[in-house]
Amino acid sequence: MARSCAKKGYGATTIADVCEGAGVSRATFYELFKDKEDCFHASMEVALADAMGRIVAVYSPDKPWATMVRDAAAAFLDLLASRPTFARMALVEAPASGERAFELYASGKRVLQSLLERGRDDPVEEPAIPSSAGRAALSAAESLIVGQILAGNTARLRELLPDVVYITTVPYLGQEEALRQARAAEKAAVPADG
Amino acid sequence: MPAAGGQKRERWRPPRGRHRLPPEVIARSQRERLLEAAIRVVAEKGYAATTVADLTREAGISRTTFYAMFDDKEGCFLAAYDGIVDALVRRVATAYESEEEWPQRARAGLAALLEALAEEPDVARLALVDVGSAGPAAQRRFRAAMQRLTPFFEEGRDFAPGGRNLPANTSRMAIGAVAGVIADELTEDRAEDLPKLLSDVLFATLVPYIGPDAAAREVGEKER
Repeated sequence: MARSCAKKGYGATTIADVCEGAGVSRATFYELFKDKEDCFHASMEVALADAMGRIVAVYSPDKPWATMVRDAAAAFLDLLASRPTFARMALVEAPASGERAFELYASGKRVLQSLLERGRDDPVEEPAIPSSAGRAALSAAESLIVGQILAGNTARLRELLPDVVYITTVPYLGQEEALRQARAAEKAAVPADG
Repeated sequence: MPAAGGQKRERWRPPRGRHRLPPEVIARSQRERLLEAAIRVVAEKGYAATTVADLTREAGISRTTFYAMFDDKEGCFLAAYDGIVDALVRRVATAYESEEEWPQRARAGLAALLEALAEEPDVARLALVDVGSAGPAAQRRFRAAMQRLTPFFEEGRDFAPGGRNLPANTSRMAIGAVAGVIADELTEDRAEDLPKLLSDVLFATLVPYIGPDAAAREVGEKER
């Protein structure tokens, strides 16, 4: 399912494509799933749970907030880069493939948002920033990532880490510190995969 | 939900039968009608469920005429999409250029964008949300449309004291933030409330260039 969507897009994918790709019969397909949407939803659900698990795993209350954001962003980018079909499904197809898929996509985004907004609990002095700042910063990073995916550069997503770190921390830390964090991210060693 | 034909606006059509209008005038009118029809039909039925027959019926043209202008539904949708984007960019540009300093220019441009989208919720949804479901070509068109806003954002780099040190992708990300905040509102079916988001999208635009303190000051400046 994910492979066919990555190639043709969800809209153009047929059940025949999915069966052919998976080497199963139509009968088997309909034993497992009600329809195409059901199948997409199931494959997305599994992949998303795994992805979120890997990102939440970097969270630790002992880490400074900026380090946590950097590590989570790195884990997310590495995950997407190593699984291009999932990357496409989660960020390009899911938001546009019906209500159920959208809901999954939105729930993933909410998890990331709540991780990011832990920064607001920091006792640092905070200017009056709007409550949408975290959501906006995530959309900014997402848009950059999706652009790279659509341009066929999924394997090089890790290169976006400094930019992602900058845009997600600047509302909370200010420009100088966010730039410092972005430069540190450039040097950060690639964490071991898996 | 109102009946499909209920809100149909009357628009000028060349008289049927023999007439003396030059062929290019007829063709232009048919094309415009078709593009308007494409926006209405796709907004109502979704891209996947829309057929060429829907488009020709809504536009009042023949299949032959349709295929003389476009290869398929996608070609027609993309042309309609380009028309929407052109109109939006023109409106943003006019407002943007009416101000002097970058933060005020950004405010004016964003206010114009939000107003334009709030006026036509169907068009707004199509331009920012539904376009994702219309296939890879449409997705690329959406990216290209966002890129057209780059000059309005990139001026922030010249305005910001440390502009040269900012990430090369700053404008892409700021545009993504604005589009994301707007899309969230459209997904919740609150298009008419879009103008209320001005301080949110203005902050999202300014913060990567001038930092949170200055951005919050600018946002607060004209707020009543």
